[in-house]
Amino acid sequence: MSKTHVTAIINGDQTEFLTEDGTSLLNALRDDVGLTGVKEGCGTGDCGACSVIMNGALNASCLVFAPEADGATIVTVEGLADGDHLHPLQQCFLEGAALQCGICTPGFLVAAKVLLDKNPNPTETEIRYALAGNLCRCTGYDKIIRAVQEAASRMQEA
Amino acid sequence: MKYYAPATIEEAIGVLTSEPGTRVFAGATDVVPQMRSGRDLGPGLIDLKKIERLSAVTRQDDMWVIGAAVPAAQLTANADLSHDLPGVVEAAGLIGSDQVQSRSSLGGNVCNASPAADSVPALVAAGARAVIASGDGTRTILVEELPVGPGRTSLAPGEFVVEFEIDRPAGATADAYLRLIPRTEMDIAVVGAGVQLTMDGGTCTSARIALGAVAPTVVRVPDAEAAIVGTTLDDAALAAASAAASAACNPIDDKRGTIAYRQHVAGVLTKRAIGIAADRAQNPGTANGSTH
Amino acid sequence: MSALGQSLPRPDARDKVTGDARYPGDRFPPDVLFAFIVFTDQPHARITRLDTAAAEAAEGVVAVVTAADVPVNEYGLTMFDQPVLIGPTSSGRSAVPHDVSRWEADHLAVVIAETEEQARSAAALIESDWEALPLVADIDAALADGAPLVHPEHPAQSNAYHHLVITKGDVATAFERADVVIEGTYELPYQEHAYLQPEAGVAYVDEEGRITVEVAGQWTHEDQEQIAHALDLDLDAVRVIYPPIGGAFGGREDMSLQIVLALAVRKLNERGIDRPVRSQWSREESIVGHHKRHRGRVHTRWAATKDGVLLGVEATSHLDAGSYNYTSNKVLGNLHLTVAGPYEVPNAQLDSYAVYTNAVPGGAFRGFGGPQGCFVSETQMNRLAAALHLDPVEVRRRNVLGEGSIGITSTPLPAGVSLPEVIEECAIEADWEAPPRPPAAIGAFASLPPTTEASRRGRGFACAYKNIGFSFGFPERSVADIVLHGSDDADARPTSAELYLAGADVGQGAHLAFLQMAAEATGLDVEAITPGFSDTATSGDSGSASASRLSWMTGNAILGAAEEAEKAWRDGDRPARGHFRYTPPPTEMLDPDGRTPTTPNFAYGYVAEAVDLSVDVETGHIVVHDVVCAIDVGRIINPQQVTGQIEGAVIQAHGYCLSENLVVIDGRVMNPRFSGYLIPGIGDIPEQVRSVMLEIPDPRGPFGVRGMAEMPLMPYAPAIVGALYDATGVWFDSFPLTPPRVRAVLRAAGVGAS
Repeated sequence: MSKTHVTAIINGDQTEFLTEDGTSLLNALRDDVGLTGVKEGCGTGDCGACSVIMNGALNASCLVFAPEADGATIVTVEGLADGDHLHPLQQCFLEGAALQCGICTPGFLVAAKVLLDKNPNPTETEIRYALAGNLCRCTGYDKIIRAVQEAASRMQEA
Repeated sequence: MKYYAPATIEEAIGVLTSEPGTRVFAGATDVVPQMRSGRDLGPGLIDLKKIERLSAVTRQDDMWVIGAAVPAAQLTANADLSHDLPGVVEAAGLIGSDQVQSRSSLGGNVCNASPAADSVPALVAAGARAVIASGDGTRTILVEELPVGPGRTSLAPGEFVVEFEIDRPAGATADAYLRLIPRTEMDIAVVGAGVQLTMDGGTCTSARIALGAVAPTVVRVPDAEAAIVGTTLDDAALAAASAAASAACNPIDDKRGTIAYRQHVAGVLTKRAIGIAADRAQNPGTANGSTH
Repeated sequence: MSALGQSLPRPDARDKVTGDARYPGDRFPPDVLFAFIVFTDQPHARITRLDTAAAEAAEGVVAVVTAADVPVNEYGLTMFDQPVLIGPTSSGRSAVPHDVSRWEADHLAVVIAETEEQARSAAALIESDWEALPLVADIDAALADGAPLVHPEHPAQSNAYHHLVITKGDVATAFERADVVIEGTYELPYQEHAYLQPEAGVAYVDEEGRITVEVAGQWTHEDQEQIAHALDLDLDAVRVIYPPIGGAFGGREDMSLQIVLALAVRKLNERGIDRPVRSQWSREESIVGHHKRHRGRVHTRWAATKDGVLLGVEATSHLDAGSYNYTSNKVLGNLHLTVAGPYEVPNAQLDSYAVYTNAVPGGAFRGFGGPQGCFVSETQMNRLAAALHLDPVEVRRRNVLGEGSIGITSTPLPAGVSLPEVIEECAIEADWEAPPRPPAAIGAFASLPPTTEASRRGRGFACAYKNIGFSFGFPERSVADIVLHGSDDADARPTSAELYLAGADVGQGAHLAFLQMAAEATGLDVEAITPGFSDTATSGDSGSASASRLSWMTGNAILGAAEEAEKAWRDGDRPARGHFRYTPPPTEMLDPDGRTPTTPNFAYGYVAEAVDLSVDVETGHIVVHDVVCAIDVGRIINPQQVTGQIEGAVIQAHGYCLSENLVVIDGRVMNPRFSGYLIPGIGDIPEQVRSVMLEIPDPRGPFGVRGMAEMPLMPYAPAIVGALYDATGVWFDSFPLTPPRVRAVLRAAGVGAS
């Protein structure tokens, strides 16, 4: 197995890790960087639980080889809050009961952030399209849509 | 497994030559599931995304050139491309979720050679060509000549696709792609139908129709094309095209659909896609039928 | 202000939105080893040789656990019929033959190594020889003449190993007197739980020397018991802790990696290695390796008068229990009680069978046999309405169980029967009396663009009842402990409390419900209560997170513990301790011929649903526009959490009914990924789901609470089938209603283009 040295900006911090070439970014983030907020739901890009923002784009980290992250800027769920101050999306998911078991929650938050960064005032249909890569088995999704709408409206007021 | 990220086509060819058995990839959206299924992907993977030419989209006077590794999200975000080739763009836009769209490429979708690949019928209907590189230089073939069976392409060892060339539509010409899946997003086509046609004063003057997921490789349907050329796309013509599409299928039974279902739906989608393409050809600039 | 009825935020929500919550798969203690669990990959075969020498010698491998290491090689929640590990040698202290693999996911060995990659690579070096045994693929194969027995050691000496009967009145005469007979055979599909967190856990020896397993389960104390049984340890030598759990839905009711993780730690310990062990299944291993909602088949005939009044019901039901019982005998009981519907049925002959096969085991899944029984009864009732040109709501008014009604087991239902009110509320909210809606374009959000030409629209209705708590005499109890703190002053009130409960929060918000009920019972704010949940070392047995029982049972235990603590407080104890073990009214098992009046349950919940859909008759695509779910929850503890359960259950039902198509061929799951097993995504769901919550108190429920988390899943599929009939005039007797199936049935009926 070949090992590669990777340097990336992860949640604002320059981070270095050593990884085997065939390792997924998901496993590298969890096992080597300690970011266990990034969840593995399927490992095949079908559920979105491992979503991260890589160079501004929404990615399933299970589909990315860890060496590809060299030089990249990566944001995970751990990077959304500003210290103790939750991101409006986090606050609205919390207040709106948009989570139950919570395994899908980090992926939804990250995907919703990418959406609101591009489109601060999305329609319900646009929210559904943007979150179609994230599966949730608990909530039935409605409270997730409401939470994203509420966060969008709070962020516009702010 | 070793990871390579060449910066040039020559470098990539160098690795392919010096490390036999290595494979190229762009988004890895098919490669990763294949690895998990235990498929031996060889000693190394070559990431093509760092090669500028494979990551470029350019509009020339008479054609579009789309790099093989360009992620689908860049195609759907390109308004000029969507205006010229809405069917190709909507097919690319149907390859998976936003997470997958950040990675999945036309090159990967075509060369993975899945019979159900969404982009293939749309590219074939649009008359797309693939530019292929190897140590011997480049050659250009029609996209329909690339897949030769499930998981198999006509590429020789050491070859890979650099880019796709698609002529810009002239006159009242437009394309459309429809696919059916059991859900709304994130699934593999049960049937896909790509159509490109040209209208002149209400009469269809030329047509290209291609179907996906109904045979081991993409199917061109000359009988369906013949059924509508020279007509005003009246009900009888559409019914004939629909029947020809159903008849052209050679599908399999699987958990996504039966043979009878695929044959039937191929006809339904062909009919509906013709309607959308005709509407676009006669009313340029409308996005009727686009799912995004 | 009362703590009840408030949408307070969950105590676990902050950690879940920041990524700080540590689920069992997120635990990487220092020095941790990885345990890879090797499946036999043999649906039916006898092992003749097992050689782990090469695996043990592989790089990074610390130990390999096999059947020879299991003190008592058997387990099972309601009967011991499954070996922990399959192998040619065993300690001999189990009646279950240990050398036969009856399921592709039977466990063969546990490879413990420094890393996951090393453990997985070493597993490939395990050598085994197998002698093929004849495969029993499904119910038909299991019931065929001369079929091989999956469990030759079972006293039933038949693959149909568990049989329940209800014989009521004179069913033959009822059919003679009938004006109309409705007959149907229904094929019921599997459903996979698809909780987003695959099975994972970590095990170690704790500071008091207990073998400790941190895992996602549904019943800490039952896990503890089964681990102790297999390892032949005293109960208090085993500790089970549940960290945050990534969904369950019944799928964690039975063991997955609990026992083998404990075995791994024990084996290391015997070798003087004191290191923790972790394990995590892939999605594929999860789908292959745990039980499913049962597939099955029901043949039934209903007799009624021309006014739509039921005279009698005959039903013969088979559930595919798969290779091991799990909870099949209990699930069968629920099917048995629901297959004739929530109706007054004067005459009945019901025969229900659980059948062993070499397929994946059937077991607990939200509704627990109820969704299968409900699909049959409600489709029958809708067909009866259609046959008599009666309105589906009106025909239910004429038959529905009400207060004082005699149930199917010939005893009165427990007081507080509210189904008539639930049905009326559902009909009102759905505007059921309104004229049919015009055909709608198949959604803006389908994979196909809108078309109205091929679109047909219809509405459907169904209702259900389901037990709350364990049935048929299964021991039911819940223990709670409350400790009140405050000033020594004689007339001071407590200022804070501790609450100890084992009840599992599988994501449904149970812990928040416990806190809100404890706040109400003690008069304290929720913030003043410190929880101690889900650890066998600190809590008494609360029973499982299942059967819609947790709020009902623990609520009663909390009320009792609060009262005990309050007494101690008045007596001057500081802190004041209250311990209470709540037991509900007893329930009874059916007798073998099912004639004796029997009380199988102590409480029920009631639900009704109305749906409005469009179907594209050319493609078979269905879009659901509107769902109204009316449910009597007795008393709302937390409105947000209750609607969360309703919405979640409806969407699980949507998947069960429309898209989830688990393919099992010759004992093998063929689509163990989310790319092939399609649970609903955010774009697939109904355009709106409306929750209507009634609060008619359950006389025995704590604060009037009724259980409610399963019920909304039950009527959805038959309501959809009723709406499809309304739209197309065609009945469906099997599902999921995937486009190919819908199209094929419509085509056979001559609906839509040929």
